Amino acid sequence: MPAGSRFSQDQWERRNGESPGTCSEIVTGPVSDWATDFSHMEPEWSADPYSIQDDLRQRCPIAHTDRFGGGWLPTRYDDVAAIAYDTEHFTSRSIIMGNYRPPRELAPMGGSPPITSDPPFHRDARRLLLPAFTKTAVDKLEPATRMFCHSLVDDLGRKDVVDAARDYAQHIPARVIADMLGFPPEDGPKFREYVASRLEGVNLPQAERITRMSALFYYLLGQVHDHLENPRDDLTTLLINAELHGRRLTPSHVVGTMMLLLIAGVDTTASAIGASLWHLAGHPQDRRRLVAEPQLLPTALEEFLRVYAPVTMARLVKDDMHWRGVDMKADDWILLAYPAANRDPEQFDRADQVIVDRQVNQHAAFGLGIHRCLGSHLARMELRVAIEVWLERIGDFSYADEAAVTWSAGQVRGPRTLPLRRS
Amino acid sequence: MVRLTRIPNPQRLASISSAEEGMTIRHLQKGHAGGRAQMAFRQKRNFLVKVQISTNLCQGHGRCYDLAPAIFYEDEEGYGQVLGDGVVSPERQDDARRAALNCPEHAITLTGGA
Repeated sequence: MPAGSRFSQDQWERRNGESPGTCSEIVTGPVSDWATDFSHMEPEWSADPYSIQDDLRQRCPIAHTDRFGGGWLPTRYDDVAAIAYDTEHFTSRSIIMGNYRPPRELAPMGGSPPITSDPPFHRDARRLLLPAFTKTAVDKLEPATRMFCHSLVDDLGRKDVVDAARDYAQHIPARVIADMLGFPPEDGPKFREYVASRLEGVNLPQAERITRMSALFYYLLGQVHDHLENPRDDLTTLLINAELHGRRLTPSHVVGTMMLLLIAGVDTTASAIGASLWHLAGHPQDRRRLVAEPQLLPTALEEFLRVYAPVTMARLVKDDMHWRGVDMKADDWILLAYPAANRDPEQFDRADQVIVDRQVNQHAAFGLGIHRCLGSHLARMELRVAIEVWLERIGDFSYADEAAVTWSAGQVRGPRTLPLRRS
Repeated sequence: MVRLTRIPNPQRLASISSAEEGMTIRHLQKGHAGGRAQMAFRQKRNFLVKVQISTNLCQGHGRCYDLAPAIFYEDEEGYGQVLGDGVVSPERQDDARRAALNCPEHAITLTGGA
């Protein structure tokens, strides 16, 4: 690759040297009071964020923390929705709440368009991707996804105890998105490391964070070069050739979007699959009902998405303002907890119960407003196929060791270890 | 007061029509439909219903074309669209309501049609 061309390494290094952003002090350790000192990175939150959020909704519906340089946690559906819809006062410039804030000049594109983009740029960047993620488009991936799920179950062999998170759920979305981007299928485990370090590494020292991010940048840049030499019908080639406002996308846009598709497409869906299997392992009556009434599965999966919504988003406050009784400062974080909104009893009947045949379910698991999860149709397909194949092949199953189940910290919540016993 | 968000029973769901008197699903969800409005809905149950999607509100979640594919379809960007003129025959009205009641963006309106 000649120096100075669109994706050359020197261009990249020059860009990384610009606009360093700001870092806040890293504060970890036990939370004193969740209303004034919350942290989504502590083990109590990973173990059970719901009771924390339910308690806050009662006594302090817009909680605050000084950690991460300052932030807010709304837990009522109405507040979460209002922020999701209000792109005038809240920016998506960064959507991962941590100790690093990207520079203001990064708006309106942000580092990973369109998820980090604000209007009006957001709409055009999103339109480039929408056709590849419609229900019709992702339905075409269903047969290959189903075959892959079967191959994973085949690989489990005859073991009595299997890890449904490590040996099943985690592999499915990694393979699907690798195929869509045109990456080598065997790179799946590598992505999961990158993704985990981005999502769960927010309290790492800045230098360590940058080192880990750079590894992902260079991996993606390598994939871009491979596609420049061997163009093929996939999302990477689509991005390389795409035009926005009459010009090819900038290299930061191309690589930033690839990073988004990888990060947003892997852990999230794996978490939804894992959480659904976790529920079914602990609720044999629901499992038996879904086996007996397979037509109920899509309705049940919507309920699992509501009650175990894997994704919490984040926003930054644009300017100082008084908002619904609190004084927000420019660049304060908002931890946009869709899982908390989904359990608000003001919005949902029997909000804390899992009702597999819930008929009215306007959950916000895929977000609300202009940033509705681009991959929601893909995620729903993968989730449905993964659960169908599991129920068909594994039959009855239960926890092998409930205490050994571990959950991820941070903004994507799902089981990371899920030992199940087949019976 | 009717709170559609609190009605998990499909039979009750089917008995509630939001079609007439310019009442939208949103009104019903927010609890603005009183008992009299409810009575009126039931009496006019067999009237034609027309569905509309607000393009300002639709974000392409796709619940409508998932749940009621005979009434809605997906455009090339994944946004929901209404098939034909949007007039829903009586036997499909429950599907139309179910779609409206599962739209996270409250983008679907049911109104009385002629």
